[in-house]
Amino acid sequence: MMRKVIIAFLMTLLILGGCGSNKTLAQLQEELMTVFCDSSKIPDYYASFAVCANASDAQKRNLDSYLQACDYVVEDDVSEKSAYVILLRVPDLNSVRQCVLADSAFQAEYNALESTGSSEDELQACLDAYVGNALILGGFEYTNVTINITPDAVNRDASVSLNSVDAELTKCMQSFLNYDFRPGDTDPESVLQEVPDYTGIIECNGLKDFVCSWDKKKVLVSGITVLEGNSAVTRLTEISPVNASITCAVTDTIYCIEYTVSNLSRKKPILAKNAFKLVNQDGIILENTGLHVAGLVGKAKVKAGGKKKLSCCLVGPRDAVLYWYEDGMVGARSFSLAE
Amino acid sequence: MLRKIVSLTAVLCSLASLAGCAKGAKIDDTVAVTNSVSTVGYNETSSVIHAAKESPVKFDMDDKAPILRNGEFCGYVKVNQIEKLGINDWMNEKCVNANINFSYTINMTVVFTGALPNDGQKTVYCRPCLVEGDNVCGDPCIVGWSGFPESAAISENVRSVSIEYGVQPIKKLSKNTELHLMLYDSDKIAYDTIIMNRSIFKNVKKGPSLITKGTGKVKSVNGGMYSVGVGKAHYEYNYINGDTDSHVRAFEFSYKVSYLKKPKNGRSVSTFDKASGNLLRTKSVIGVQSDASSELMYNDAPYAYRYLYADTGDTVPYVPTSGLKVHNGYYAEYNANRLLSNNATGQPEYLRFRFEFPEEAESRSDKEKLRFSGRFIVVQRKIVERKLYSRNSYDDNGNLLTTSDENAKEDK
Repeated sequence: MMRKVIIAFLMTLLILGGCGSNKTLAQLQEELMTVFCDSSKIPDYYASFAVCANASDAQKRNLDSYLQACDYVVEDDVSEKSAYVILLRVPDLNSVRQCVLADSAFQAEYNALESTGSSEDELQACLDAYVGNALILGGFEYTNVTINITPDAVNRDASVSLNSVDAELTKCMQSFLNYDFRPGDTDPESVLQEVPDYTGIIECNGLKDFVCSWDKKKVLVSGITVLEGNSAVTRLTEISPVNASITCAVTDTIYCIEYTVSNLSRKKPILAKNAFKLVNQDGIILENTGLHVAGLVGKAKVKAGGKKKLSCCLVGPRDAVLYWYEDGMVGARSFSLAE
Repeated sequence: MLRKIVSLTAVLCSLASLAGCAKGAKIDDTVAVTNSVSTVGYNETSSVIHAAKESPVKFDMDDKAPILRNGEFCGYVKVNQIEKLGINDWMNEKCVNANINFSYTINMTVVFTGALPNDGQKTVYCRPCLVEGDNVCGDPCIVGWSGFPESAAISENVRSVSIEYGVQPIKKLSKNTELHLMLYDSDKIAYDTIIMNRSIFKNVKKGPSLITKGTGKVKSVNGGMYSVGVGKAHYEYNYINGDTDSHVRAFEFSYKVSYLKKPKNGRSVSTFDKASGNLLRTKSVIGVQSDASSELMYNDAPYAYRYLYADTGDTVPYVPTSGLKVHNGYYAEYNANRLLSNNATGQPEYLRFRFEFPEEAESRSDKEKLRFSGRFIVVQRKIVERKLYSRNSYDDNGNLLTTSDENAKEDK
């Protein structure tokens, strides 16, 4: 994927060079997609990287898997300090290591090799195989690397931008090749996570369980499922056949959201109510009109330590963002449903 | 007849037709409902999402704090009790330098509902620490025996385990100090840190203090009572099986267990021998730690010998291999030791003795364990030189003579 990003980026720059810098983000992304669809345009770019010079074949294979596991997003820079922002999502190496170490097959094989006094090379080969496997299977965390592409760079000199991408990638590749995936040497406590410093609304990729509190209520929101468009209407119809009649404007979309709310207090019951909302691009909360959906549970009394299933239906423009939000809520968040 | 039948049939058909119409009308109504398209739109409200000053959700004592990893719910942690102990972690240099002589011990229940590895076993660790802003101002610690395990051994059948771990402040707590619970497991998987509200420190119970004089009293679950105390502590060479060529460094000490009260109820604790009329088993489990090493030493070495007299090379074993059972009102006093490994370094000045009562813990529920008086009985003693006397200072039975006795013996 990273190769694609580089090449796509290069081609984009060429295209931009030809067309000037007044392309919209949509046009840029469309062009990127066109390039990605034709894999024959992707040369073996990374083999020329200096960091790969001393890597073993297994490491190179794993590096390839590592790069394939990377992902990217190209965005307009809202702060307008740069023309575009490329967000590289690269596998978190500690997380990959944890995936490898948690694999019981790896543990068994590695321990067996250790107990039989196998050589370092054999142990390394075993480790490399499972690292490669983990990278292919996924399930690890990602970290984001932000690359800002300035308008000057886009207009004036394509190599400036390409160099900045190259530099970031080289760092990532170097880190990967130098990372020690071996078990045992790390103190378990070293994996402890730092408490993230939350400011503002928490931005979430995908739907994950989370905790939040407001009005002295602390809840765990878990098992969230969000269905959109026809799938949402189908689900709403399953909930109640009366809902089969529901439709919305072509320019809008409809969501059916179901989730479980757990009361985290061991002493006090709470009245839990839905806090999922659609918010437009201006940050204004939208409310539905003419919506009479049967069978949904928008609020419920949840006893101390108990849990209840809630559901809601939301309609809004296609570019609206899904939020879990109440005024004064700690742990309010927005969801990117791209994943 | 045929005409009648035809007429009747016609009437029935008409009725059926009417009934059909009625039914059809009902169906039509339903169809009308289901076919009517309910177009849903939206309006902008007057509310705008604003990035309020956010912070992670903080939990109170009465909350079930979720264990989350990558947004996946894996269980709960419940804080049951926080005690302020008059015992510090003397291995923590920062706390010693800051002259802080207390620590907190936090009892928690870990309920783990997440997936287990193939062998069905996982150990979940929950380590408390104190944080002020971006700075850590309290480290995890264990300063004594709580009766609870330090980590939760989770299996398919055991998903909930109560554990206890301490935290050592390294500076005075401020109003911004927060308690963080850091979670990870035996598979080196870290979970989201749980942050407790500052208000939980308002619910802190006062716990036991370090014993530097006197004894610790233990009330058994059966109503019986006994006390434990430590005599003098020494640090000297011992000799394995009396072989003066094979010397080893050892901490020596004596401890005393006194039977104060008989059991009052039928609860069974193996410390009391019911078969022999509730005699008290006095041999104790003691973890010994010096101020020069964090190692906690548990095992007696009865095969270690020490010098008997100041003026001869005679060595004797001094640690008994078995324990005594005593009657109410009596006591037993033991010599004990802990051998140091050859690579132990440092110059110890003090020893701490952590008494443990596993039999009492076994016979109690978790709630009863929290109220157990045997928790955190920690005795501190300064290491002193063992005073040896000449052979003439003892009578034929090995009893130390008084000065007048000695003179009489010399005259004889």
